[in-house]
Amino acid sequence: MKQMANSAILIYGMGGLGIEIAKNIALAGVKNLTIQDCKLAEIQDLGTQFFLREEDVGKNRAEASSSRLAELNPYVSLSALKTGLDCDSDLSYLARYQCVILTEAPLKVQICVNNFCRQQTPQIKFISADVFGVCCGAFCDFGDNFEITDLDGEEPKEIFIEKISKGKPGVVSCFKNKMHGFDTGDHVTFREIYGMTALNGWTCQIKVLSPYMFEICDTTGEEFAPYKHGGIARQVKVSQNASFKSLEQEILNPSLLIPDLCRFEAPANIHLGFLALHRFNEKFKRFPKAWCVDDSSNLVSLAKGLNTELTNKVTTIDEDLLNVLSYTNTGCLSPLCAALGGFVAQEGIKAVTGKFTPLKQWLYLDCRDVINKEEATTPDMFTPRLVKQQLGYPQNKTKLSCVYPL
Amino acid sequence: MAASLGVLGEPTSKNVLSCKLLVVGAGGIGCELLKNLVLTGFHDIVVIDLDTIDVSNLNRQFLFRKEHVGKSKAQVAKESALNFNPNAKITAYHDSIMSPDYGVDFFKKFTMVMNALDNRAARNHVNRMCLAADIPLIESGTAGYLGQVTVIKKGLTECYECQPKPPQKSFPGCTIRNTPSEPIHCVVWAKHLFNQLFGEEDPDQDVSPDTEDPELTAEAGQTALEQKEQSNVAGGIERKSTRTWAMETGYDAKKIFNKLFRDDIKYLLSMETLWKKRRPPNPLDFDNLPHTECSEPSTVMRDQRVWSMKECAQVFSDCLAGLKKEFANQGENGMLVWDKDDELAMDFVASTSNIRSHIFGINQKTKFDIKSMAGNIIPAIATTNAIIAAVIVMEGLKVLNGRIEECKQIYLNRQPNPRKKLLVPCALDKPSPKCYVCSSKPEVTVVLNTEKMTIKTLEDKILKSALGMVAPDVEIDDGKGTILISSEEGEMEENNDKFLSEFHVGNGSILKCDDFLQSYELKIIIAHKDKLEEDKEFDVVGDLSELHAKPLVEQPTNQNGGTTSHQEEEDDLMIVDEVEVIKSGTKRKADQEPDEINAKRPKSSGDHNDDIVIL
Repeated sequence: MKQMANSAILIYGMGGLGIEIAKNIALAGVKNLTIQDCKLAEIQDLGTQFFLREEDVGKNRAEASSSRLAELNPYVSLSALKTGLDCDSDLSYLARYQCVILTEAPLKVQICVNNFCRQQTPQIKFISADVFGVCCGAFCDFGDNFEITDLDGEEPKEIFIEKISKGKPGVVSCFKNKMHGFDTGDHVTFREIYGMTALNGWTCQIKVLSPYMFEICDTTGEEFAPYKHGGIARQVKVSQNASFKSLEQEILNPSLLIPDLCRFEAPANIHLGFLALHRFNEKFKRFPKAWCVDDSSNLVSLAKGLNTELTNKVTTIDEDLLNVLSYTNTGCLSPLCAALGGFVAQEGIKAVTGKFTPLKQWLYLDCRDVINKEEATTPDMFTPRLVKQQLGYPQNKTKLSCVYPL
Repeated sequence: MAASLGVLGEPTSKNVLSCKLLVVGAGGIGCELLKNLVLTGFHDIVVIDLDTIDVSNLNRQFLFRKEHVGKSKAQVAKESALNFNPNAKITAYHDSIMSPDYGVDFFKKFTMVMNALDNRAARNHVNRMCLAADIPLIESGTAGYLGQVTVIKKGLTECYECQPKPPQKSFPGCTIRNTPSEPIHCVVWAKHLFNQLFGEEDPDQDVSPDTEDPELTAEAGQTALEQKEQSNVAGGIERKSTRTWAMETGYDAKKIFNKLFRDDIKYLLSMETLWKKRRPPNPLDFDNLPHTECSEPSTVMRDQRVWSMKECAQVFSDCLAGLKKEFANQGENGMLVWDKDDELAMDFVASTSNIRSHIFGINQKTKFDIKSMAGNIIPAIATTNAIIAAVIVMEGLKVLNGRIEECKQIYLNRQPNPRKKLLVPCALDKPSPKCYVCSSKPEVTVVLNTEKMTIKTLEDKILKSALGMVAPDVEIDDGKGTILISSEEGEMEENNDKFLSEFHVGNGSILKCDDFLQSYELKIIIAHKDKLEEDKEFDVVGDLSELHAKPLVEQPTNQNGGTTSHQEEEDDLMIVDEVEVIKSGTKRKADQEPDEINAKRPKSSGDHNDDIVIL
């Protein structure tokens, strides 16, 4: 992993999700990891941001967590930036990073940064990710021409050769009828062949005939002496280029990953829900309140409006999902941060190493299963109350009690 | 806590606060899991782990720091997790979950058990304890980029042992260092040797004889220990690391060979208890190597035939010389990284593992085979552990809400395939009526030679190792209730060396086994067979009818049926750390039969079988 040890990654937003991503990337090891955040730690951050403690409340989140993060891996040089990011920010400092990961950033800022990343040469790999209540999502843009050097990280397969026919095309049979495990289109190279020595060191694309045989190039030519014995065919990893679209393009025409076929439309609905949340925030300068019916119906109508703008419209809008998203969006569920934090860190590592096929381009996950249906359908019972002492923090942290009912 | 309570709503939050959890294991998954649990608001957690913290853990087990090395994993994990919520009540046990201290009553105290384990034996045991206590269990495992979470509830879902699993691919250190019995043991040892000499020095990868082998009870091995102490005292020198010693010899092939393959082996031989039931190893002398035949004519390629001992020794010498040079080129603090595609490194492992195999009377392998064995060791990946630990908590929340039937078995794949699947949820399977653990009348058939199987081997290899019991009592169902094995120490030891046939156990005999700790009773039906293929000592066959379906002389191990065999070929994956993909043998191998691959694929709920798993 040489590329990893030479790369620099920036993570913006040191909330519950940001710290998970940072932890994973620090453990994996990069040369330089920068965490950036302008927000001050609040008591509710402690619920998911595990490197913040009670005494850090009121301090800058990036600064407060940097020493604990740095302890994870002495080989990573870690720096913390206290500046915020908005569309007027001078983004030129981003040019020193190979990969920029945004969390908790408004959609407009995500677009500005994404556009900046695309304008650099080489293009900076861009990821944005957020957790809103029971839903979370990430977007990847690794540029117009991203080279994947190793599609699957599997060891190249190798087989012994029994026979190679002279033909157009020539056919290779495997030794002792072992299965070769190759796929049509794979590239294969040869060595240690006796007889048809012209093939040694040669690489060609193959066509699979059976689990034990595959076609190679034309072997009728004079340079191909008859096969005698021996020889090994080895799969060659061929790098591939992947082309990503910008965030602006992808918002209205998203390439969605579908993690659960039973809920085929869920990712499209969450995508719409996230866009609506951002729109809500732009309109009201705040996010929908927890378990607030008015806000949630506002969100649903925003979503319906947004759906008409999409290139691929969502056919069935899942209002239940949108409601749950609205009720819970201000909360943050630690396991969801952990799950998405794992995926995003992995994508970040893919971005700087070119190993493994990256996600194209949106990944949405939800865990509304953890909400009881009756809880979701009767929000009246969630009138805000004073925080009880079980929370583990004193009652005078009243901010909590308004936002988070218990 | 606070933030997630806002998401969860009141009833769930109450459940979270009042729930009592047992977390088994504080390693890669365990660290992540504890963090998630504490942050989600779980207050009452017991964590148990037998291990102490090793340097090699620090790159992913993020609750541990350098200063914690050597301390109890459970204890340090508890302290670190308390920083995330000082009000949580976490109890840490630095102990084995298989200890009799943790009986059914202990398990019954919990609302739920979460496994973050690294070995089959403990998983089997916790599975049985949770079945006996009727407590929901969330089981998990990771292997490289693959991971899996499943929920087990008595009578409702498959238990951990309902499906036969490919043999365990991770090995206790003493097997590697003292008593190898399979080629893979020697390959692992050879890779460790490479690292000891040229690579990253890892105390877990010691290659010298292990005097703390649990088999060496108080008296046994005493001679060996004394000799060691004497030599240390007499010489007045501290134990040197293998590398320091090797460097001082200037990587002298003869000296190193004779230390590893002659002196260390002689030392092992002095631990007599080890060899009472095993074939003792034969030390080799560099100047007096045996004439072993090449398996194939020399026209066969070098990689594809088994080398003779002399060839091995020659390759060993050449590699040492070559690696010494490469090592020196790395500079002062440099080291070599083992790579199977590096000819020298690979030849080194191929030759040393074959020499060791020869010494222990294990089949030697071709370099080609060794390469595929050695290359399949899967490292633990931090991000996989993070994702899997998160999924465990989400499934746990569903269980807490009383909606266990909505829980899923979830597979994490390496990357999305064209079908765009990454986390694949599958419906939980119903319990297998034929399961020899969770069915109402568990029974199992064991094929063996009653004239060659001793009571001790029956107890150690079949009941404990293959069938996962901890302290079994066994009687013969012969109308008289003849007792073969007692879990009380000192009661039936005189039976140990006797053969089953001496107790008139023959084809069709039934043994009634009872493990008091696990509250587990099992009926074993003996199927006598004079000779099993591949020199296996026995075969555990899940279901008698399957055995009857085929004549006994045929191969009774059947990859796609309900059978497990003890000594299958060690081919597909080798597991380190908390790595075990529970049921999905997701790693494909070119030479696997297609039906074997199918058998190992997880079943899916909706769409059947088409590339769900392999991404």
